[in-house]
Amino acid sequence: MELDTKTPQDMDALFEAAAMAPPTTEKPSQATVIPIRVPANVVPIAEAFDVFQRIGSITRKLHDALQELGYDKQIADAVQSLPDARTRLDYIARLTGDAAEKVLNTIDAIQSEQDKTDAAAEIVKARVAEFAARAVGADTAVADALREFVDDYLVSSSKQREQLTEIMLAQDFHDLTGQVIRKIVAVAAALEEQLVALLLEATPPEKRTLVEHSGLSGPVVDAKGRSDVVTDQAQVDDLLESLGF
Amino acid sequence: MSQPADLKFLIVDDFSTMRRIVRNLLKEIGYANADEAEDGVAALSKLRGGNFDFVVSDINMPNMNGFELLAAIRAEPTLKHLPVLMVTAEAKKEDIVNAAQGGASGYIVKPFTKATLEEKLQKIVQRAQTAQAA
Repeated sequence: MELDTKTPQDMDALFEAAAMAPPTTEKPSQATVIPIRVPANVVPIAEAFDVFQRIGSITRKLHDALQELGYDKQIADAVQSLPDARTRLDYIARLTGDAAEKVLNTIDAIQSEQDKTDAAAEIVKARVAEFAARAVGADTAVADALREFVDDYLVSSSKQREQLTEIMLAQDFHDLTGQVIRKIVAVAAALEEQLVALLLEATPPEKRTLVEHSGLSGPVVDAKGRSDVVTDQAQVDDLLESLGF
Repeated sequence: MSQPADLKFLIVDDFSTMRRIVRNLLKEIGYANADEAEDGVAALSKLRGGNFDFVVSDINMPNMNGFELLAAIRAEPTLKHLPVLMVTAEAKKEDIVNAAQGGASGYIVKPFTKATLEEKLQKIVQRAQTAQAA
């Protein structure tokens, strides 16, 4: 049986007929009967077809209801906006990742400088100790001041290293938020796929190409292309502003 | 197992930021010998090719996740002895139990501190050395 989806009335009639009709009892001719043990969980073809008919009918009713309420346009808008939303999330993930990498690079550079300065401070400390051992009179006070300064510096440097470690550890936000963003992007992709399927079901055959083009390929490719070439501040500002930053 | 300071680590995480953080922390703790892999597949390849002593692995990764990597390590005669410390954002009890039953040597939930990583590493290294001496 072919599904006739030309009018809601046809679908309603089909649905009603299918809902009211008793299970199909049509039997094949005796000559073609082959005894097969059918597993209990296998749905007979006639019943499965009935299910398809019902789904078709429900889809049609949903389409009519959506059109009546003006939601078909909203679904189309939602479908079109999802790739854009995904691209923006990707953009956030990339930007935060870049920022975290910059912080880590800077920490590496600071630690490298600290290694040099600490090594120099240890040499100065040894020299000051030698100087203090020989110091007499006013030089004793100078030696004490120098020793205090070097000791204070080394304590301060140690504290700074601990704080740099904290800053470094805080960059794990990129991993944690990135994982969340990745999940949301996957959900958005699944949602988009389902909405496109719904939209296709609810769109007259002659207009389906438009839906397919607007929802499936165009915006994704175009949006991705745009994000890849964000190079000037105006584009960055525009995107961040639209995100509420 | 090598002397603690000479241990060769493999850090497995799909986020480069986290790999760098773990690598830097290991260095601060005293383990300067480390390599990195972005997922389980790359990790297995490196583990088979190099003399690693310790694996620090994320769980949620593409291609081959941390659980699959752990199972592959435990199933491979030349690798099955390796300590594997899971460092992950997966905080479900079910995941922690799965990791333990799968043969993980330790489990750290992100975000974590340097002290936590150091403590777990020390425990695992000591346990491995005791087992080796026995």
